[in-house]
Amino acid sequence: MSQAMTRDLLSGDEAIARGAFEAGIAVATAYPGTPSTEILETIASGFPSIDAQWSPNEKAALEVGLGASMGGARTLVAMKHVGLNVAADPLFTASYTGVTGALVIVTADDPSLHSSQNEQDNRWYARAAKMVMLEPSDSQEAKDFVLQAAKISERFDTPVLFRITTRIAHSKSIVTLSEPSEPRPVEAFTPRRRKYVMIPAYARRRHVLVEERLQALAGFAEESDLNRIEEGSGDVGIITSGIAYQYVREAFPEVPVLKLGMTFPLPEGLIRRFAASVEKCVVVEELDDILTRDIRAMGIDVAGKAAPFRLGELDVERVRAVVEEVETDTKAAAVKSRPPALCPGCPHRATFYVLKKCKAIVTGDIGCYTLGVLAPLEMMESCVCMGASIGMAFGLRKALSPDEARRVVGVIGDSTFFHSGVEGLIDAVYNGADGVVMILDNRTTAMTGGQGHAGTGDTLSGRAGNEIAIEGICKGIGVSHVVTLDPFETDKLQAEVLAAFDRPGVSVIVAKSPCVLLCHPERVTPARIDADKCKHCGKCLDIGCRAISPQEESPVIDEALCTGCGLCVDVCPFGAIHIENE
Amino acid sequence: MKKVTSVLLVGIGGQGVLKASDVVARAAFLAGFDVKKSEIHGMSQRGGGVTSTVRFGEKVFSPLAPGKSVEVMIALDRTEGEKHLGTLAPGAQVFFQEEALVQAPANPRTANIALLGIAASSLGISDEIWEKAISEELKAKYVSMNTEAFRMGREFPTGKGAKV
Repeated sequence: MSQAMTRDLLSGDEAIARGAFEAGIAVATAYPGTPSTEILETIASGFPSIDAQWSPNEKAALEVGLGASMGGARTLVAMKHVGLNVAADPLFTASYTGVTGALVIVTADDPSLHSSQNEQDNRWYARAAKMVMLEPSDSQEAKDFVLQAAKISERFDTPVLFRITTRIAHSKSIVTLSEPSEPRPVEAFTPRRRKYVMIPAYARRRHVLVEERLQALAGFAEESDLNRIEEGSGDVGIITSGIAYQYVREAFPEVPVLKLGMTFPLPEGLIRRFAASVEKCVVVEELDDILTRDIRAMGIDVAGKAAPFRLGELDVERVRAVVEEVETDTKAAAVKSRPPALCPGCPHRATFYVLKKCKAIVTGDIGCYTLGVLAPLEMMESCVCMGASIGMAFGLRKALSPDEARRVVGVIGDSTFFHSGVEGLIDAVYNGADGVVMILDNRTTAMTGGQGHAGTGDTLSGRAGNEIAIEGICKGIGVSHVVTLDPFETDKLQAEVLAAFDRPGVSVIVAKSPCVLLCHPERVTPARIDADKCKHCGKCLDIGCRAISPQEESPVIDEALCTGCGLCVDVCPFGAIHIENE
Repeated sequence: MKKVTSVLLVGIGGQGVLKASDVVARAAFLAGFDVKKSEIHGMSQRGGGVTSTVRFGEKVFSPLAPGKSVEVMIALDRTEGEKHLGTLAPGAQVFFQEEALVQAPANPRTANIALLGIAASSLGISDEIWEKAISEELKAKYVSMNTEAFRMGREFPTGKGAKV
């Protein structure tokens, strides 16, 4: 490797991928989720020696990862913070089984909810699952800590939780690269039933080892260079970790800092020595006051932060306010940026337009189509977690009057359906429920940037996969009525939805049309509004298409944005919008 | 502590804000500075406001610019740019996309890089390094059209943004 090649500018996600390569990781699995998605994408495109795959959800991804680790392969599993909730079941017991090959589990938290439904702090998981946690504070550490995590995993027989946040994942900084280490050689399978078969008798003994392991890791934390004291001047010392460390260094370049790279279990002796070396010790941490509580529980007096600072990301000013013990968050309200919207040409717009005409009551789900909640469509009443739309639709029906219950529709995307929607549908069929589910099949995992999934058969590695038919699954589990329609055929879709409202049993309508970002919209003819025919009724503006903007006279269609989807042509009651055939 | 330069790039999803910020970060890296770049993408990509910060100097800690420390703002959308005026340092320079379009590139897709060309003189990085950064950050087939757009921006008469 030439000198020029040994440094690069990498995002945290890219650095983790590089770290996986350097650590001899052989298997990597994930379900896409912002801000973690690029870890696996970078592994697949940059390090093809690693067996990388998308799984249908995070639980499956972790189970594949645990199996690979059990067989001796070093493994990395990546997910966004809420994905760890889905994977929590194998997570807690993987803590008992431990590993054979290293198992590194990346959780990408999203303080400030840039692209998430909550801002949960997954440092709690380390404590609940009794699992060591590392937290890098820039891309260099993101790479280096993967190597450290792999070593810790094999040395202490434990999966390692590797927590990043959006500002680590999506920030770029300079990384010095190293040579890769070899993956572990393939070994003959060795049964270790008392380690991996968690019947109560064996699991009880593993729990003893888990407690002993935590003691050993706490000892390791005292010695490890993952945690370090940076000398400084002044009476105040700061304990911090992750991205908050960078804000601390910028706000207070001279203060002594205890920087924790390993945030569970904590190095009690090191913290005690540091706290004793300064007059006052302040903990600076993003989101919940977890370190503060843990350190206070050791009987060490530290200052924490006022309640408002548990919300959202920190930054240099907020860190200054925390250290200066300001009680109220005086930072000016965040800039109100332009809200996101469905793309011009998005098939979801047609679907929501039809559902609105049908006066549907929509339980929603996670994906681009969640944007259907925004004005002017306003066609979604709930969005909770991946797959929730279907169960919530059938639950909502139980509580409503018959006239309202018949109009409830659970709306879910294709990738989300495979992730965890199918169980809700099985519930409804099994329990003999009546109701309507719409699966918006746009042939991709769109919100995270267009990843393949089980319904497309496109795999991350590019190797041949198999396409699993949504209709086949629905019929297979006994859905009585399954139909697939193009949502841009709005009349047909409307007739189908209205018929489904009054049909006994479970009806599934698959609204199938590819994501407009997968097509090549520059090749199509844009729609135009004929000012002479336009009656200024505003119906075309009610579909919320960014290509159509109101003007003093008639609305105008921006030809650069219009994809020629034709929805506005259908919507206009006066035939004033048309697409000229070439 | 040595000076850190903070550049804020703003616009709407799809305009090339993030690609332009990748070029700025790469140019600073190639020029030998410590660099941090921050961006938010994901849901905001869907036609929403997009911002990215690039900070460079001898040593950079925070990837986000502290309050009122942005010295150069590159705004691909005027309305979005105006929302961020409160983050600017006194005497900061602002470059609006309209200027790039006036100066010509027929293809609006390279307007982001043309605007970088206009802003380049405020950032103290040589043209040679800018063009190397463009060639490293853009797909091969787009390099020449973007290099051309960058050069057009460099020749923009004033080469200065609006003072605020």
